[in-house]
Amino acid sequence: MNPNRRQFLKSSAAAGLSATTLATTFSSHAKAQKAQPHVVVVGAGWGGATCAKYLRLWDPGIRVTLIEPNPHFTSCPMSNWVVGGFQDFDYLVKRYDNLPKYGIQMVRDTVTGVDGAGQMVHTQGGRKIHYDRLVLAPGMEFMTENVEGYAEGAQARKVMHAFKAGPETLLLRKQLEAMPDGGVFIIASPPPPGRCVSGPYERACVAAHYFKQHKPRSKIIMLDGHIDVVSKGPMFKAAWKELYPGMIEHRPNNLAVAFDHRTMTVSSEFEDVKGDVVNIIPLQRAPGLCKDAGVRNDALDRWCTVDFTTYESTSVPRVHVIGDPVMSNMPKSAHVSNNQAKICAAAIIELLHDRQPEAVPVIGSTSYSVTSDKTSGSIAVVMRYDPVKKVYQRQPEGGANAKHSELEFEYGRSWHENMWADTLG
Amino acid sequence: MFKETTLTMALLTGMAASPMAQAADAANADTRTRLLAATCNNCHGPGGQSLGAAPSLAGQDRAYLQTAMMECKTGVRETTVMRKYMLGYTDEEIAKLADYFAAQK
Repeated sequence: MNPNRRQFLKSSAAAGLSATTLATTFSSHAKAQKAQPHVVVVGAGWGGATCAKYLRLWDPGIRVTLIEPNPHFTSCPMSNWVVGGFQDFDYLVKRYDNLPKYGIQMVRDTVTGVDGAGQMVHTQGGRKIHYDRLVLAPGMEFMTENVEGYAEGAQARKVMHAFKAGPETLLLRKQLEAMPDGGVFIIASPPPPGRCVSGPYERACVAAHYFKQHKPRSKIIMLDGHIDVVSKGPMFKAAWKELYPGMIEHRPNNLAVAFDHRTMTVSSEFEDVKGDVVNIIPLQRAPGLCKDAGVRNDALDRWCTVDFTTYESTSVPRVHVIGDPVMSNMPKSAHVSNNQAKICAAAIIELLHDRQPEAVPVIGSTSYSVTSDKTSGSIAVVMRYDPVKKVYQRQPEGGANAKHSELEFEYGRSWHENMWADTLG
Repeated sequence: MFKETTLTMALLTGMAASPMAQAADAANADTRTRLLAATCNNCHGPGGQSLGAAPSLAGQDRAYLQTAMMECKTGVRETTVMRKYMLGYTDEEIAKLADYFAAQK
């Protein structure tokens, strides 16, 4: 709510103005906003859908509009199952049908601009939507320009990131199926921060699982921009050795900087590697929408800095950012996006009622990576906000398990069912 | 043994909470506990009603919930991720989480 208007309402009340007088003082539009504040959420992924749902669950007095261009939800977690051939693509796709049951107004449109001063969102469909609070949950975009030749290669369908679940997930699966036995599959991944740091290592596992059964002479070369297998490292390395000996070669400190699709050659600063199937996951940043809105505000123009108790932008008042675009020491994962969404929703409710938001929020982060069609390994960390240091502190003994297991596979599948239900159900 | 129990509980209670029921339950908890408990939903299902192998928490006996969580924390109970989780919460928070989930329908 506009502070000036709030001030005016308070002074009006103090002056003993009747409700009737107030009603005639303000336009019906303004009156409706006073009666029912409006929160607009952009992006119905793990963060945005959760935020919209919990806003309505916890305060049915708030009007919530959720803007999303896609007709269905497609899950990035488990998309490696499709790459490995464990599941059909349809397994990843869920409907948005339940969200309107919470009183969320779903708008299928693309947000093209944010007017922070005017508290207005503009869409491709020509809508202009006023908000009292705005939540941006648009995921991330790839800095494909950092890999010379990537755009041409992608156009020729010779390279893909397959790191936003969708057509590229299937493209990668089809290329692995078409690859001859004895072929080379290159996975080039960036250093953090970026989405799902363990995803590339899991991808190596599912591809190796498939090759082992159908193309056992094939090889996987990982060109890793990071210094080591830092996420779940001991677990992945043990699983590779146990299940796929000699098949996966991990080359750290080897960020891909160029790709020539005519020769199928990936170049890092140190070497050129030729592959039959090439998967390059470029560096990422908060999407252009965040930049346009003025909330992509870190020194490198990559991420959005926020107040960690409310997820409100440090640059633009009343605009909150959750999920991948947030600059923090938290993993960029579905689990974290969902948890940030709840903290943000709870804070917005308090702010709209002129109360103090929770000062010490707690975030949980769990992620499961499959190592085969029967085994998984997990990481679990609790992070608690430290209001003095203004950072989320990892709690003792959080981290990854050193061994994968069939039990973790069951819990991983359970995690996914419950995450879906919590976010969309 | 633990795995069998959790799987059975999941089967017995494997139903999604209705939106109205969730809203009514949520309104009765203090906001901090409600927010802490919402973190549990990711693995234990919305409102603590699990759809998978992770155990449902909703409507369980309060003392049982608290004991189970404390046993995870101290390592008496063998777990995959729960010890790491419980070490991140104070004993008082665990008691409140037990109150919260015992009160869920």
